[in-house]
Amino acid sequence: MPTGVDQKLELSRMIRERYSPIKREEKDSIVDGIEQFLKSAMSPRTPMHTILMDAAKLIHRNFEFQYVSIAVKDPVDEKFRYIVALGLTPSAEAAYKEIRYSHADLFDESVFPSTKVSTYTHFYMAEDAPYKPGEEKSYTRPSLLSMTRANSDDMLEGDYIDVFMQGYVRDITGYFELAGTRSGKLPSKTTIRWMELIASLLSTIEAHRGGWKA
Amino acid sequence: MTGRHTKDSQETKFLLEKYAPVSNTEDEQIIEVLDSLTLHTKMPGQSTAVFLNDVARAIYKAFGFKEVSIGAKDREGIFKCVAMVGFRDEVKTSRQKLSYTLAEMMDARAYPSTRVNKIVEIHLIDDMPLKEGGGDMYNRPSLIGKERPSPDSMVEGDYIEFSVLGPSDELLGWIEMSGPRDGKFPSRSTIKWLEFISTITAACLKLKEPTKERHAADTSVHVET
Repeated sequence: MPTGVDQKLELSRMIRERYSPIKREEKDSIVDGIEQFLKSAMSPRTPMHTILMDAAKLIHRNFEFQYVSIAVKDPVDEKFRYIVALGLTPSAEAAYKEIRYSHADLFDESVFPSTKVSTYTHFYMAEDAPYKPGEEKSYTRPSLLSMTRANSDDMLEGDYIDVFMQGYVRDITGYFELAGTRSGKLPSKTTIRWMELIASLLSTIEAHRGGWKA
Repeated sequence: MTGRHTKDSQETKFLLEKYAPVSNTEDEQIIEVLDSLTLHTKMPGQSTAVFLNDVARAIYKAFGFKEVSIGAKDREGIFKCVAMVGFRDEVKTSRQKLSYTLAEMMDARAYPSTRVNKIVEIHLIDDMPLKEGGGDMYNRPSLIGKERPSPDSMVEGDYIEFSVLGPSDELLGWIEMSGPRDGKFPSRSTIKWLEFISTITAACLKLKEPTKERHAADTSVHVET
């Protein structure tokens, strides 16, 4: 065991090597992306629309989803409407932004059958046609809605995932809608956990700013 | 494959199994801890001191440090220790008496360290000889000065400090930890997670400020206990 000056040098070298920014891990870019998002979101001068758009971009860039949209509850009529959408064709995006759902609509299992995979996340399978008549327009490739699932792990064009933003008493204040993975496979559980954390951070921002309009 | 899925269908079972709430990986477990932290901070009227105690406890439990303390700036712009987990009562009392100005917080000569990046510094006891009466700040002062068993061993008196920075990189506070349960310096991955916790802490502290104060140029975090 070296002593004195040698030991201090060895310690400094060990610290620099161990914590070198060059040795990046898979999660690093996600953490960096969320940190950058929070830096902007914690400033009171950042408008809520920018925060929602930044959150959608964060997800679209760092995760495998091709389509990312965020809906929030309008404080005026208490209905959920889509504020930002990424990855969609202009016509699908326009159709999305026309949609309004009440809380009851959103959880009407006869119209939107789903599998609840956690407190925050519902999975909607294409075979269950989880959309209202006419809402096919909100899909980027509606002709693929009747695709068949070869494997349980496939993510189909018509599959989508809603991750709900919840307040302290589990009241729903908005949700992310995620669809289409670049690999064509279902996202990993870790990805879903990240989505839930980002949703939780967004709802924290909303709670402290007193609503989506603030 | 057509028709509506039932709860017994193969696909439904597959989804429930794939996304089962049990966290399988270390990353999933830590994300869960962070999720829980953000849920609590939504509680109406939760004080800053309670929130910082939650952060300290989360670090203590999830990352295996035996001592965690968190400091924040008060209304007068003085930095004080607000939350402590794992310290003896006498040490807590001594640490609660400490206060620093911003200049003192930034004084690298008084608190020499090896800087890892903008927010992480590692303070080694070798660089900070124990001052008279300084033993009151440590849980096991008799161990200070003992030989370091190996270069990657963290010994009594070593600590890791994370700056809690606001949107303009202004200092809002600090998170300090020591005494890893395995006796070793933490992995790079742990440091990355702790940096992330510092940023989440900064965001929550800023969001907890009353709107008027957040809009003002004042960048302090007002700690109500």
